[in-house]
Formats: sequence, structure tokens, C-alpha cells
Amino acid sequence: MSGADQSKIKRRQFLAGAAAAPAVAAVALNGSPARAQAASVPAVPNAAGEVNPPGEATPLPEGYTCGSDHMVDVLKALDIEYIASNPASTFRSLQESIINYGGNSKPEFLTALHEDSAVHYGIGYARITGKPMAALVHGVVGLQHATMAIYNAFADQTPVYVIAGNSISEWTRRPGAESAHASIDQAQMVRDFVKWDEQPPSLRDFSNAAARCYQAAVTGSPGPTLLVADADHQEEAVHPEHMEQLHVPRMGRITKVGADSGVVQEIADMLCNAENPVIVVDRFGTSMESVPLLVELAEALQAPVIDTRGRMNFPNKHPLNHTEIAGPTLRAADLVLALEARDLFGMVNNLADTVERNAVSRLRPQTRVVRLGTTTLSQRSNYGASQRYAAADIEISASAEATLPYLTEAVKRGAKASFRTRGERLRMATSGLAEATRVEAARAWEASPISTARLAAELWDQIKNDEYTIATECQFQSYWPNRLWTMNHYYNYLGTSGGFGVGYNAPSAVGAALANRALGRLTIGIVGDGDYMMQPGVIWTAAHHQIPILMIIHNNRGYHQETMHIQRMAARHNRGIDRAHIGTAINEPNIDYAAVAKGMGVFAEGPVSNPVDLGPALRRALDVVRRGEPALVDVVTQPR
Amino acid sequence: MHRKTLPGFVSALLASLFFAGAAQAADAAAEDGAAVYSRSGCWGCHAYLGQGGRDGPQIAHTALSYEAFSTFVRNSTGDMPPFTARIVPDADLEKIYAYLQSIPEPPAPETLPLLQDVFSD
Ligand code: HEC
Ligand SMILES: Cc1ncc(C[n+]2csc(CCOP(=O)(O)OP(=O)(O)O)c2C)c(N)n1
Ligand SMILES: [Mg+2]
Repeated sequence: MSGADQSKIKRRQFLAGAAAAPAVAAVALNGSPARAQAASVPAVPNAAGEVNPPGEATPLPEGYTCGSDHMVDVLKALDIEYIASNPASTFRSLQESIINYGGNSKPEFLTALHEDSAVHYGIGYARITGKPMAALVHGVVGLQHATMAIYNAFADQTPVYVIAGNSISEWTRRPGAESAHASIDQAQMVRDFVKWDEQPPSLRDFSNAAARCYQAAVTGSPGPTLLVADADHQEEAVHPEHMEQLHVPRMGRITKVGADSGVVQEIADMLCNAENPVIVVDRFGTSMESVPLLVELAEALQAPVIDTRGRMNFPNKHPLNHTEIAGPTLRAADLVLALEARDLFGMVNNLADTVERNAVSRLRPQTRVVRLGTTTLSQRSNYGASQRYAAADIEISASAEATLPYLTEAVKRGAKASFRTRGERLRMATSGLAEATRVEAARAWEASPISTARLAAELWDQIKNDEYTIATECQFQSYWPNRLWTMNHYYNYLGTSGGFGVGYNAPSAVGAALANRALGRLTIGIVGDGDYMMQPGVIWTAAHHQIPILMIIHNNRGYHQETMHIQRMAARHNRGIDRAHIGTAINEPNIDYAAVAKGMGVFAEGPVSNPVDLGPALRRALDVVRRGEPALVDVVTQPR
Repeated sequence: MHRKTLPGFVSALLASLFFAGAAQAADAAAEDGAAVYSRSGCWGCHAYLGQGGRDGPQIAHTALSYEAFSTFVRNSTGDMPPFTARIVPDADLEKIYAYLQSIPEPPAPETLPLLQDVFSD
């Protein structure tokens, strides 16, 4: 008998079994399609020969549960706190189970206005908590919307737990939308940039698949994973006697893996014997422990640290922080220790944006390079997220954070008297930085549009006594927050998007704010106008779920990055650059971001273009945020 | 024509001149230079008052002589694209230079309370 025929019979058995429970149970676990009852076409006669009216579901027989209740048990076992989602029929049963059976707690359902933001919320959330939250997306179209955010998470080694609905069996799909949103191999569209994907073939297989997706997301090099939850499995009727066959997984503690003791001693010897060892670091800071660990190593070795700010790695005002004088420090190096350095090539080379694209090494030819980190573990085919190849003299694919305590111990054992004089010299090199930074920040102080330095300084004045997070990238504000504020803890600054996909900042900042809410921590986002307009609805989600965040629009009225690209091309092509605004400016009409936010029920200020008005506007907005709600301030700014 | 093609920026620049107090200080040539500066797009990487930022260094009050300034602009081989005389004629570049030199000096950082706190700890 063909599979198709079998499934027809099973469906009949199931429906007939509505009056005879054991018969139902016998087929329910094999994936019999309970939801066929609700399908409008084809309507299947029941035992009495009646046809269920289209769209009308028969209630579950007494004592039965549905497959999606089991799925909720699994999500609870995985300790998933939140599930962000744009509602859709391919997971209607799961959504209903989450809010009713699960009590809408662990996971709590968050209404996302786009699947892209549903996934991006998870990035900010994971940066704060170190663990994934879930995004629940519609079959095919929802996942298609979610792809860029998944890519950002992948490129940034951030765990996000994505669940997509699907209607695997053609026999139970309704025609129209449900068929169009079904796919045989849905994960195919993201397989190059998820760590793992799985579409369990039966309800019984759901739990292992779910646990494996979780495990893959958080171990080794963390990243996004995709679990496809079939609608038939969700809507399947489960007989009480078969509940015990549905296994709920247990997740043990997950640890990071450090380098072996032999190689740790070898690097320690190299570091101790080097004249000018330099530490370069990108995505190191992932927990409360990380920053102090790096401080201890840098101080034990009296070595400078150059931070490319992929995370909060090293206290920004520490005298050994040589980020602002990276050029001369790297040229003096005879040994570079690169920690969690995905773009090692970019860290040790200059590549001017010229036709020739000539790379010039920032190191002397004899300088040796040791790379320690998990970035090589995340390497995948096809996409360029792992950045240009760069050779290290020693490549160690292990967690830098897990290795550092042992490395620092070994360095302390091999410490030399000369370290102290080196340290004094390195401190001297940064002693003038504070004054130079002040001088630079004072330029254009009174300008309107408002300078990015002024914006950062006005903001700092009002948050300096708070436990705070700036949850957005800062390079488009010329890194002023990183230069002016005091950043000592991993949660002060969350780093960059990884995949450079614009539209990352606003939603991931809301995700960070969600995680910070429970900790009573203040969350700030400074978001480009272009970035913000990719997902302006995130502020509604923040309002709806009472997620406090101060969202500042860095409103330079354009895709300024692209304006510069066009200027560059026009100059190169010798054509004049007075038309570079075409396709890059966001003006005529100017967008009134405060009005947009107010329209979503959010307190908002702006446009603020006179610097004198900025402090009071920020204060009023912060009052609202401190009461537990979001607020937005539109600041008309200098380009960078 | 500038108002037509660069409305946002021109109004922004005029506003910046107002707040910077440059309008009073600058002579007529320099003021014209502000318009040329905007039309020539130097602001894109050097910001509206030539203060610089992540994508270009400060060029207001440059220490370069006009000759060195012009040589750089015409012949840059690095991160700044070269601008030929066809794009920015000599007469324009002179005005840009004059404008950049005329921008009022920023306040001394020690007079700005907000910048004292930032490095206080
Ligand atoms: C696409 C970005 C971009 C644009 C547009 C641009 N510059 Fe630059 N400029 C740069 C960068 C980057 C540098 C630093 C280059 C280097 O160090 O090699 C620079 C450097 C300079 C310098 C040298 C500064 C110094 O003290 O060494 C001058 C002068 C200058 N630019 C003038 C101009 C003028 C005038 C214009 C408009 C006609 C202009 N720039 C437009 C990016 C730009
Ligand atoms: C999804 C996506 N689309 C387009 C780009 C190209 N891009 C890079 S930066 C940028 C400008 C973003 O505008 P905004 O956030 O306002 O920053 P600005 O450069 O104006 O400071 C764009 C469009 C991208 N990186 N990702
Ligand atoms: Mg912008």
C-alpha cells in the first residue's frame, strides 16, 4: 500500500476514533493529522458519514492533549524565557499552547511587527544574558523575512533559537496560503548561516531535535539554529497513554572549552619573552568574567590592548588601552596575541578604499601572530562572514575566555622585571589621551546640526550614575560613546552586528532592553535614521510589552555611509559630487520620528537641532524610561 | 541650483553657521566658501564645520599651507579620493580653504563642564 493511501486510512481511523479513544491513540503518535478536521478542503467524512463543516474544529476528546502542548513542555525545559513572533497559521497551535497551556510564561509571547525584528531581539537579548531566546516565524515567508537577522546572528556568533512553522504533508495543507507557506526543505534558505537545522519527522522526534538545536546554538562558537515545527505535529491529538512516549529533554550545564595546557605554556613563554607583545581583541567580552580576565592578563604582562570593539572587551579608560593609538603600537609589536579576532586580516592590515585595494601591513615583517578564539570554529562555506584569510603563526581554536585564567597564571610565573618599565612607557603613551579627546570633542560644540561628540557628552551627563548599556554600534557616531563614557563592564557596550546588515541596531537594542529590564539596568540605543526606518515598529513592541529603552535617532537625514560611497565614486569618475544625495538622502520630506513614535503610543521628543535643547529633551525622555517605558528622541546630527 | 539639489544640507549648513557664530565672523569670501564647501561635498567625510570624525580628519584651521592643501586634495592616493580641478576648480578650492580657516575656534574644552566630567574618574 502506498504511503498516501496509508495516510488516508490513518486519518479515517483517527476521525472514527473520536468515539473510540484507543484507536485514536494508536495512530495519533504516528503523525495522524488532527488538524485535517479543521481543513476546509478536503472535508473528510467521519464515522457517521458526516462531513465536518469547513473551518470548524472538533474539540479534543477528554483527556487528550495536543502536540503543541508537548512542544511547550520542551521549550520550558530549555528555559526559553521569551518567544518573539509575528502570528501565523503554521504555528497557530503552538501559539495557542504557549499562551494558554504554558500560561504565557517561559516562554512569554512577544508581538513582533516583522520577523526580522523577532530574530534581532534575540541578538540583543543574548548579548546581555548569554543565552538564546526564541523567534517563532511563519513557514517560508516568515523565515524569508527573518534571514538577514539570522545572518547577523551567525556572523556575530550570537545564539538565537529560531522556530519556523511548516505544513510538511501535502495531504493536510489547505490550498492557498497554507500551501504557499509550506516547504519540503525549509531550512535550505538559511542552511549556510545557521549552526544547525532540523525538521523532526514526528511529534515524538520533536524533543531531541529541539534539544539539539539548543545545544548547537550555545556550544563551541555560538550561533543561530533553526527548528522546523510541523503544523500537523503541533495539532496532533495525543492520547494520555502515549504522553509518556513524549520525552522532555534535560539540558545540563554548558561550559566553554579552553586550550590545552601545553599550548598555553607555549604562548605564555612567547609572551614573556617578547619585547613588545600587543593584545588585539574583538569579540571577547561575553560575560561578567571576561573584562576582568583581560585586565588581569594585560596587567600581568604589562601589554597594551587594542580593542576593535566587536564587544565590550577592555575598560576604555585603562592606561593600557591603546585603541586610540593603535597604529604606532602595532608597528612596535614583535608579538601579537589576537583574541576572538574574526577579522584578523583587517586588524593587522590597512586597506585603503582605492582602485588598487593594496593592503599595507600594520606589522613589521618579523612580527609573530598568535590567534586564540572560537571564530575559526564558526567558519562556513559560501558567505564571507569569516572575513579575509590571514595566517597566524599559531592558530588556537578554543575559547579565549576559558583559556585566559590559565594563560595569565603562566604569564605570572614567567614575569620579568622588565615588564614594569614597559608598563610605565605604555602608560605614558596614553597619558595625553584624555586631553586630546576633550579638544576633539569640543570642536563643533555649538554646531547645529548637533555634533556626535556633543550628543554623547550630553547623554553621558545624565546616565553616568546609572548601571547602563549602550546596545547599539557606535562607529557611525565616530565612537564618541566609547571615547567619552566610562565603560568597564561587559554590559556597558554590546558591540557590533557582525553581518553589517542595516536594521540591526533598533531591534537588537530592544532585545537588550528586554533582558536588562529584569536587571533594573538602563538601556540606550543610538540608531541611525536609515537603520531605524528598517524596523520603526520595534518601538511599538517596546511600548506594548513595557520594555524601557531610550531610543535616540542619530538623524543625519540620510544613508550617510552611502552618500560617502557615491562621493568617492563621483570623484573617482571625475564627475563632481553635487548629486551624491540622489538615492542617499532621507529628506524632502524630512521624517518626523517623534511623530511616528507618538503615533505608536510612545513618548517622544524632537526633532532637536539646537544643542542647547538637547539636555532638557534627554532628561524628559529619561524620566519616562526610568518609569519603565520606552521613549524616543530625534536628534538632528552632523553626519558622523 | 544648490537649493534644489541639496536642500537639506544647505539649510543645515546655514543653521550651523548661525549657531557657530561664523556668520558674524566670516568675511564675504569665506561665506561664499561655505556654500562651495557644501556643494563640493567635503562635508561628507569632514563634517559640516570641517571638524572631522571617523571618516576624515579635521580640516578646519588646517596647519597646511594653501599649496600643501591643494596638492593633497588633487593628488591624494590614500583613503581620500583625489578631487581634480575639473570637479573642484582652483577658484573654488581657494574659497573652501578660506572658509575652513575662517570657522570660529571652538570653545576651550576646560570651559565646557560636560567635558570635565568625562575623564574625572
Ligand atoms: C569620501 C570621503 C572624503 C571626502 C568627500 C573628502 N575627504 Fe578629505 N580626507 C578624507 C580622508 C579619509 C582623509 C585622510 C586621508 C589620508 O590620511 O590619507 C582626508 C584628508 C584630507 C586632507 C588632509 C588633512 C591633513 O591634515 O592631512 C585635506 C586637506 C582634505 N582631506 C580636504 C578635503 C576637501 C577640500 C574636500 C572636498 C573637496 C575633501 N577633503 C573631501 C576623506 C574625504
Ligand atoms: C540590509 C542593508 N541594506 C543596505 C546596506 C548598505 N548600508 C550600509 S550603511 C547604510 C546607511 C545606513 O543609514 P543610517 O543608519 O542612517 O546610518 P548613516 O550612515 O546615515 O550614519 C546602508 C544603507 C546594508 N549594509 N544593509
Ligand atoms: Mg543616517
